[in-house]
Order: sequence, then structure tokens, then C-alpha cells
Amino acid sequence: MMTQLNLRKTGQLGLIAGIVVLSVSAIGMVKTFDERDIITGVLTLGQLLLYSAPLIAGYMVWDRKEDVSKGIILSRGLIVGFLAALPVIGLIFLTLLWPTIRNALVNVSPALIEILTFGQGPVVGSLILLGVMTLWGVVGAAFHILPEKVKKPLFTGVVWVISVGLLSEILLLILRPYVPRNVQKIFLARRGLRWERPFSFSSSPSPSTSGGMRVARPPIKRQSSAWTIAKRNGCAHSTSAWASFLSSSCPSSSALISPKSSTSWVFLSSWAWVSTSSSVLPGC
Amino acid sequence: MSNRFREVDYIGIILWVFRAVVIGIVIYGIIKKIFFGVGNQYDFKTWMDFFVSGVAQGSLYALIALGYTMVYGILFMINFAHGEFFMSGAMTATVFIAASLANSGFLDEQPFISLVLITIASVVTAIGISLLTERVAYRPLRNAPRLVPLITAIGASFFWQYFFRGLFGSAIIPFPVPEALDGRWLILGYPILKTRVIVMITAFISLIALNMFIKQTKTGKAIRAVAEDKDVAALMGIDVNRTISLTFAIGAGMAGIAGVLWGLVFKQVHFYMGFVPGIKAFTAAVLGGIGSIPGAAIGGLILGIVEAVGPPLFLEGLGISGAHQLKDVIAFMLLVMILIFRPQGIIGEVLREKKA
Repeated sequence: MMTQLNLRKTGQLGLIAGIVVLSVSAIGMVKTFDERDIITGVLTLGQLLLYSAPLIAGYMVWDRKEDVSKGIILSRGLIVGFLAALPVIGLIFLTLLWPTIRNALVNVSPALIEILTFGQGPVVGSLILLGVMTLWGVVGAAFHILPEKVKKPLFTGVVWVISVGLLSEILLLILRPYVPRNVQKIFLARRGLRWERPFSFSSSPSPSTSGGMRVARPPIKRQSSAWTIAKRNGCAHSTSAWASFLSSSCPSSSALISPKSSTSWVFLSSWAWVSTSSSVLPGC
Repeated sequence: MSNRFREVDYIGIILWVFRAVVIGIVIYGIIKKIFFGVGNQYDFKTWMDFFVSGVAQGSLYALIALGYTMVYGILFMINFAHGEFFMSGAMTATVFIAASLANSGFLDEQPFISLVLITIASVVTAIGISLLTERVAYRPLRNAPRLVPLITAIGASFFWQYFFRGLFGSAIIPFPVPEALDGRWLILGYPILKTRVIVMITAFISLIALNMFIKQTKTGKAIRAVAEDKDVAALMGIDVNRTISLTFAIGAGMAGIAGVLWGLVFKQVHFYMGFVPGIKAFTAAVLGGIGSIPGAAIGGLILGIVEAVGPPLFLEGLGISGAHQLKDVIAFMLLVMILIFRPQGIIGEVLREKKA
């Protein structure tokens, strides 16, 4: 078991990821990138930077030549994620022991600590960070376990979500002449993708929590153009607006959209999924 | 007759004329300064000051140049990130150790122990950064065309510059100098700044120690063997990768020492401090003969002295005002001249095709 875990390599990967996370935090990249949304109110570029190290390190724990069980691969991912969190947790506690640390490391600011601890204080925040990083390590490792039919479209979907989120400002400009403003607003916010709850007819949008912080989500415009189109097509359920939009390129892909997943990023993931895995969906 | 014209090397003639003109201008400037008293007049004590300042500056160049020359000797690549090893050590030691020691008052109470601690911090940081750079940026490119690691080195240099800018900020950070090193010592009847004396002595000891290490230890022999032929060295049982890493570490260690000495002389550090001294040290390494350790030392000293004495001696003689601001022009002009007329440097060997 211990031999299969390959603790030396796994530990090395975890610590390298941890040092990368610590470095990008200490030089101010996380704080600066945090001002940029990928999915508004859900995921910022700073968080993406923070989580990408354990994710990538988790992905690197397994070599195709190795013959090990899925449990071992996931365990390695778990160790990598756990170790990746330790240096940055060390930094969080160092700020408690050395309050004037900013005199030396100018970018270790209270705002950075707030981001790293999800605004929950050093102890609870560190535990959450440990959990989240460990989870990302496992997610990275789990990528190997997924069947090829799922892995590729999922990867493409994630890349599309990140790309569209990053380029949202440019996309808004490009789409302006061709796509009605209301349709744009369905999935694009001013900076990043728009995170919406499923279309509902309730009068007041409720704030929700994400990543440990309370995020006030923008009010949902009720009768959007997409919704109108969907309704005209006879789609009674709110989610069908997405399905309708999606089915314009692939009629059978609406089956992928569950009523609870009508968010823009799921839409994009699904769209990418559909476009890259025609074998999954006969008839596309 | 026409064949004779064809055999004439016109480029060679132009270069000879260029050399004659440059030497002529320098001699003209010196004569005007010495015999016609053009520009400011300096007494002997001031000239000595220029000279000592040049030797101290040259010692620093020599220490940094060792890293360039050793890495070139073993890998045949110019490690442009070497200036950043120098900067990283100095900045980290200043921010974490020197500032704390100064605030606690320990720096003034125990200047020697404090300087040793600061130097250890600087050397360890510089070695760490150099080993990381070698492992991540250079080792994977060991068999790549020679232009590739060169470009990577420039990239690594920028990476470390801006990494440390992010870490410690872009402000100039004061380097605390112990009170014991304020003032001057009388040496042979001439008052010389204490910091300069410390710089010269430390640099001299470091250079001698390094030379002995390379010539008299087994590890030094291994380094020389790898520099001569990596494949044969590997066949003899030498761990080539380890030896290359060790070479980087030794060069960075010298740069770390130079970083602290630089702080003592200029009393400040900042994230950009590695760039110009790095290029100057490269000039010194080329001047002495790149690949040669004594060459780097001699090149550094000559460059430092020419930089310090040159502007008041011949630039002022040519009637140029503010001549000291043009010391970089002299340094880089020297580099150009050396590359044109004696590419192998002062004591360098004519390199084989493989090394050149």
C-alpha cells in the first residue's frame, strides 16, 4: 500500500504545488487576479490560480505506465492536495505571529488573508482551505479515473468556461451588434460569466453563499428574450430556455440539461460536451 | 593587380583603423588632462580614492563574474539570470536578517557576527534560487540548441526580477551598515573607507579560496573534468548533473557574498540591482577570458579600475562635462572592443569550435 502510494514522489509534488501556491500568493498575484471574475460571485481568477496548483499536481500523481488501483490514485491526489495547502496555511498563521509581516512581504495583505481564509478567520478559514485544496487534489487525480468519453468533453467544457469567463468583456463588445442585450445578459456579466439561479418567477432574488462568503447575486431579469423564445417554442419549464438555445445547434442535446442546472457555466460545459462528443449523443 | 586588391581584408583594415582611432582618442584625452590641465584638477589623494574605489568595485565585479565564467566553462551558456541570484541574496538577507538585526541593535553591538549571519542568509538564498533555476529552466534544455538556453536565461532573469519585486516591493530598501564600519582606516598613510577595505579583503579571500577549491579538491577536479568533456567525465563515474548543480551553487554563493558587500558599499538594495552589475560582470568575464577563473578576477579588477579612473582621466581631458555619468559607456565600449579585437579575453584560450 505504502509502496503503491509512492509517498516520496507524491509528497514532492504536493510540496511543489504548495510552494507554487505560496509564491503566487506572496507576490500578490492571487490578490490582483481576485479582482477579475471567471463566474461572477462564484469563481475569480485569483481562486482559479490558487486551486490550479493542487489540481494540476493531483493530475500528475499517476503515470500511465503504473498499474495501480483507482483508490490509490485518489489517495495520492488527496495527499497532494493536503500537502499543497500546508505552506499557505503556514503563511496564514505566520501573519498572526508576525503582525508586521507586510513590512517585509509587501503583498501579504489583510485582503490576501481574507481571500485565503474565505473570510472565516485563520483557524476555520485554514481548515476550509485545507479541505478545498485537498478536494482539488482529489479532483485532479480523479480525472484519470473518468472514462475517456467523459474526460475529454469535460476538459473542453472547463476550458471553454474559463476562456469565455476571461474574455467576457471582449465577447460583450463583439456580440453587441449581433445578439440582443438581454440575451447577452443571460450568460455574460460585465466581468465574467453570469451565475444565475434557475429562472424563477419569484419577485426578489435571494442572496446565497459561495466559497464561504456571502455573495449578493444580481437580480434576475424575468422576461428575457431567451425566455420569450423558449416560451414561444412551447417550453413550459424555465430550464428549457437554455435547452432551446442549445437545441438550435443540436436538437437532442436538451436531454443533457437537468432542471436544476440551468446556469450559464453548465450550459457552456454542456455545449462543449455536445460539440466534442457526438458519439455520446447519437443524432447530433 | 586586381587579384591583389581582392586579397586585401577590408574589414580587417576598417577594424584596425577603428582601434587606432579609439586608442588615439584615449591617449589624446590623457595628454590633454595631464599636460594641459583640461577639466577638474585632482590631487594625488583624490586619484588614490578613484583607484581604491575602482579596485573595490572591481572586486565586486570579479565575485559576480565568477558565476558567469564557471557556468560558461561547464555548460557553454551565458547565464543571464546570474545577476538575479546576486540580487535575490542581497534583498532577502536585507529584508529578513539585516533589518531585524539593525532594529534590535545587535548589528551595532556585534557587527562581525551580524555580517556573517547576513552573508549566510544571502548565500543560502542565492544558492537556492540558482539551484531552482538550473533544475527547472536549464536542465531540461541541456541538449537543446545553444540559443534556447540563452533565451531561457533572459526569461529567467526577468522572472526573478519581478518575482522579488512582487515579494519585497519596488521601493529602494536601505541596507543597514554597522556603526563600526563608518569612517576610514589609514592604510599606508592613505585614509580608505572601511567598507571598501572589507569588500577588497573579502573578495580577495573568496577568490583565493575558490581557486584552491577548484584546483586542489576532488570536487574541483570533477568540475574541471565535466567542463572538459561531459561524456568522458560521466564514463569516469562523475555525476554530471550533480557537478553542474554544484557549479551553479558555487557561482551563486559568490554572488550572494557580493550582494552583501554591494549593500555595504551602496547602503541600499532593490529588485533591479542585479541587472547592471550582472551585465558589467559579464563584461568582466569576457574581458578576462570567459571560462577562466583567474581571468574573471583580473577582468573584474581592470573593469572596475577603468570605470573609476577612466572618466576623470581621459573623458574630462576630452572636455566632456559630467564624465562620471559616462562610466557605463566606458565599460560597454570596453566590451565591444574586446569582442572585436580579442574575443578570447586577456588570459583566455582560443576556444575550439565546440566551446566557442
